[in-house]
Amino acid sequence: MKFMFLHRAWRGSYVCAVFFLLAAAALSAQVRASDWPGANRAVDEAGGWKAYLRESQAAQAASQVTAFRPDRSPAHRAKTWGDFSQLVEHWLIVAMDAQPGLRPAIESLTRGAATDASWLTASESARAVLAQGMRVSQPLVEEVIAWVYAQEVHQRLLEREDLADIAWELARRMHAVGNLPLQEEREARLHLLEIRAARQKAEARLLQAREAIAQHARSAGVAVPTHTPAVLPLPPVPKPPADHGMESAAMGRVMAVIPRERRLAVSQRATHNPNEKPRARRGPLSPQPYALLRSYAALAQAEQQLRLAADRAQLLVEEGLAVRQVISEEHLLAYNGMLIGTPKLLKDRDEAMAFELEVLEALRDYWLARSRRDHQQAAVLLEEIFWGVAR
Amino acid sequence: MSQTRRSFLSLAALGSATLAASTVGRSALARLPEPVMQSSAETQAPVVPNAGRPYRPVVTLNGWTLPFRMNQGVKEFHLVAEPVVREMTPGFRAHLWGYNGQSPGPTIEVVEDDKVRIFVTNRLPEHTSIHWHGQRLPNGMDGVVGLNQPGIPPGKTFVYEFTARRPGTFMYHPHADEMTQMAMGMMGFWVTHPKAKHPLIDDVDRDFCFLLNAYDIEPGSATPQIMTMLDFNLWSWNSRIFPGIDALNVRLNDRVRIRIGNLTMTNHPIHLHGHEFEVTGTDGGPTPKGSRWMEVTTDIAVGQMRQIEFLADEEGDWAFHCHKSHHTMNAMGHDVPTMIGVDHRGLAARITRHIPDYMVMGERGMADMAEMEMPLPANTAPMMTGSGPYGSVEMGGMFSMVKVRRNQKPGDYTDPGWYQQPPGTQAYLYTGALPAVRQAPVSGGGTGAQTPSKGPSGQVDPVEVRVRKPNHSGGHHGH
Repeated sequence: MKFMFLHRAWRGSYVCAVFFLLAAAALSAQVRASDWPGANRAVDEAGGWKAYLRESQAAQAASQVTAFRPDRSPAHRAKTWGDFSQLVEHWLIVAMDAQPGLRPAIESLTRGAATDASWLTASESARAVLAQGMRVSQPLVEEVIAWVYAQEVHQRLLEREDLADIAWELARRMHAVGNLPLQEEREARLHLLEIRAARQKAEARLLQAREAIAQHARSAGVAVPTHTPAVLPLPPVPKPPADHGMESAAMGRVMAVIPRERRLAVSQRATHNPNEKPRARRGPLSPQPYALLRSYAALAQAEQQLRLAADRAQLLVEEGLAVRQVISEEHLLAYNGMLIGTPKLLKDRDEAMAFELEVLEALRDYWLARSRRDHQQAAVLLEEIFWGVAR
Repeated sequence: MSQTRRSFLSLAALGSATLAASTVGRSALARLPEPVMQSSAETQAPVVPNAGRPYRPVVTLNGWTLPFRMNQGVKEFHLVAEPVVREMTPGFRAHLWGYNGQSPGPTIEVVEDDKVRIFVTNRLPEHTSIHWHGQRLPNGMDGVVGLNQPGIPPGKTFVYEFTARRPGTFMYHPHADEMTQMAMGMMGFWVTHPKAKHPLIDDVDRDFCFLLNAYDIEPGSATPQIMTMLDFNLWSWNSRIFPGIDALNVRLNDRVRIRIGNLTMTNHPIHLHGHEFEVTGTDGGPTPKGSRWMEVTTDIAVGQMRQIEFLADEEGDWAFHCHKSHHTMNAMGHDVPTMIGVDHRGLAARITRHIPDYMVMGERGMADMAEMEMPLPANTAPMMTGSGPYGSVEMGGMFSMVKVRRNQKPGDYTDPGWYQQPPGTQAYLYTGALPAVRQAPVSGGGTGAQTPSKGPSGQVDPVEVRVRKPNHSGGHHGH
């Protein structure tokens, strides 16, 4: 009985709730439906496509076109490369200046015409200076690259967020006049939130990258930068020649640089026993050439990484961006023919921006790989000087 | 949309070819008739027979009639099944399969009891056959591959022979890989004229014919999607879409017959403005006179033929179209959301910042699109287009006009131009004071009447339209 009572009570409240919901829904529908004639009147009063065109043309005049279409002309490549190099050089100098005595030492080493002989006869102290310079320069270059990249990603994500906001605003207006179900409006909202979160994450990374640079600035007593004056330049064309594989490259370099006799001599010197008659040995080399070999292998690996990064960057920049542009143009033409709607057109632009972020990542990886390769080249040179096998 | 003097000259050449073919020597008769090819998509004037029994020939809308030769009392035709490029409307070409240079193939005209021999040469990459839709004929001539005959292999010629036993309106199409070959445009019209005065077949002054067909050609491409079952995007008459379909030009008080065959995958309610007509014939032949009634729309089901007749006694340009409104549109996006009533103020400029050539469309309906004439994907017909004397006709697909003119000469099928309405016979703008209209309640079946717009609609707006066009491939002008 008690159960029945509760059950009945529950049923009653349920019925009340249903009535309430139906009434609310009817009221809501009426509110929305009552806006319908007004919505039609409003779009008529807005003046149609000519009025919107006027509005757009005014806005276009006021703001830049933000599409990421990097100029692939040699002049533009040279300019962006110049800006980027200057930026790196600036911060290298700042970093060197912050190391006590490092910059004067390097300048004294490299002053005048540095000949092969001078490098070959470099003293232990000179090697130490160079090694210290490398220890300082390599992370610094990577920090500069990360900073430029973070700045660009943040900028792209700001634009992507604006686009997502437009898409959501459009969805909201469509839903308001009954043209779009709530689910799709919410999906547009969720997409905006996701992009906003990604932008916030990128902002944090940008702050982090800027802080790394700022530390160098503070050490050197120069102004802390607020933004990078450069963008990641496009990789140079044509591509470097194809590699023959890491191991063969390393071995080839050893064979080219160290004549067989010299290798044997080094090997013998390292394992010299005055009682033992010098002889040509087969089998493993001494530890010193192994150290050289490891440097060569590391260099070959860095070159391999650079080549792969260059391939990826070339692919995305030289072909990918052009293909993406055609896709976007075709979307616009399809929109003109009412073959797709505005939401899909905005989605295409969003996808294009996502692709641009992929391109930026490839550019960053290319410049990182290039920096690491350059660093490894310097390391090999130092090893070669040490072992007396420099060319 | 107009027949030219050139098309009549080419017709004259065709007639000459027919005459020459009908008088060739015995040795030549032992060979295949030389196939006659057609390179134009314009309506060709009727071919008056030079041999055999006389008849009043038909006019095939945006098509032509295949010449024949008489060979010892047999009418011989030569159809060549082959890939063709069909201009479906100016600026839009389709890669189809057809006959003798066009899709659909040429109309075949014979007379009741004619002995007919049709050579069919296959220049397609796969086998084919021809089914003579609606004909009484020997079972082995019915054209169903595997059932009545083996397929005609590529490069081979088969011969069909039968007697045209009953007068009426017929069609022909492949019955081999049928869905593919029909989706690619392989079909044609056949008319068998009565051998003598027929009690159910009246004389007419003009006799038109055309096939209803449909394609699914992705905008920006040229070849139909052959696996499409129902969701076609181009609804055509004789593989032409408006504004590429010629008008049916007649003289005031002409008795007009229009024969229509449906080889699409759905029915078509064909509607004529300004006149009433009777259905005087179906797939089975002429209808009994007692079964006819006046109507303005007749539904033609899949695989059916209908012939309608009317007295063209009202001057003017009268719309003539399928009454399924999406069949009077060209390719459109089926997933495009409705934008009606969505105010874009403040948004258009923001979108333009990201997509510089973006233009707002659809918030007041779709008619803006026809007015704006924006560049489209290559080889794409605008969804709604066509210029009339008062602006865009905003149509596409299965739409044309019957143009009735007092001074159209008998036998003259040329386009007379736009009709000039006599003063006082055209809808006009009310310029008096408008009463205040109170907003109708939204529930209870109110009409939702609106107050008159105070906006700039209809005003001359001097905005300069600057449209940047993509420059990667060019040729993207859909208009």
